[in-house]
Amino acid sequence: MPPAEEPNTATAAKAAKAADRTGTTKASDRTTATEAANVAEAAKTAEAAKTARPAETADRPLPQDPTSTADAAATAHPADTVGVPPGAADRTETAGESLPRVLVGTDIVVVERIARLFAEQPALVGRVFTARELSYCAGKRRGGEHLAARFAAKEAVLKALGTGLGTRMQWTDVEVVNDRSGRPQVRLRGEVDAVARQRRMRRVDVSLSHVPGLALASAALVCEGEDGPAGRDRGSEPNG
Amino acid sequence: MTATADRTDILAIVQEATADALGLDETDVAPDATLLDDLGAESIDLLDILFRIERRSGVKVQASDLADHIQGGIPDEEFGDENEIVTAVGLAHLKKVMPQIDVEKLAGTLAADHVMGLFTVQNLADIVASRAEATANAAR
Repeated sequence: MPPAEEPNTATAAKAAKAADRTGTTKASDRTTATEAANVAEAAKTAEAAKTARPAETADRPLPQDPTSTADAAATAHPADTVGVPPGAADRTETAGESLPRVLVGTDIVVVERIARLFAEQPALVGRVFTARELSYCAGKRRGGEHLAARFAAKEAVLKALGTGLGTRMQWTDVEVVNDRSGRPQVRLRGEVDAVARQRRMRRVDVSLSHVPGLALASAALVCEGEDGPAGRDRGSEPNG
Repeated sequence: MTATADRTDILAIVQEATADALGLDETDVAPDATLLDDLGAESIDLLDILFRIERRSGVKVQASDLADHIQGGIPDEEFGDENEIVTAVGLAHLKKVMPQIDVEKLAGTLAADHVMGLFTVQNLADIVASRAEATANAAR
């Protein structure tokens, strides 16, 4: 799977997505949008990111990882979205073609919680992580953080899909692999892949970050077509 | 062993598993405590709890089964209205899997995404017990 679109495009589309979720108009109906409206709506992006799960970790204050790379620009940082120049959003608005849907998900994991889980229940490891994920993390000095970040990534993808760990889904259906440059990529299989196809997902990107104690992941899915009414597109689209 | 005794045992197993996974005292894990809202369980905790239950009872319940069981196979568009409020049909089913809920009080106000917030330790024990019974019957 190739990397996602460049961050600016993804961010602008995400702002439009947030606007669509919070309003009743469809993307194609909205050919003009005032700058003020854009800014106000973009501020709701964080809310949109939270729709996948009621108990939301994003409310917690989180230490920012100073080592975050440009990957983080594609993630759900409200400040980034608010900072989008109006021109960037306008460009997307006036393109005259239907906007892709962008679904985002975020998750934070306490590293110690993951460590304790697998220390106490080693047989669970294989139900959650693939052999490739385990071998990647096993070779790392801070393997526990890497593993926790991968768990967060699985959760983030499932939140973006809006299902959580849905019926018939396995944790191993979302696999994080690293390309040659070390950038994380996501592979979906099984039921998660089936739901992604229902959502007409074309791109998925994740960004991971961890500090001692905490691991965070964001996922962005780019899907074809327009939104249904807010929240009503879960699994109800005609055929996959 | 009678079915009633089994159910008591299973409740104890569920309480112990929940306490161990969440690092709580077993006395904090009352049958009527809600797993997510009262006890603060998150998805990783649920994974932990369910695997502990599986090891101790031999009954496998996956996190991915829970929401489905609670929604009872009712399609999303019938379970929640256009504002994602649980419909009368949805509530009638919820009353079966979560008998403690006050349907009249929740009518027209229960957000679909808050349903899991009402799920108690006892409700989980009931699911495990009915799975155990189904397995026992199948083996008979």
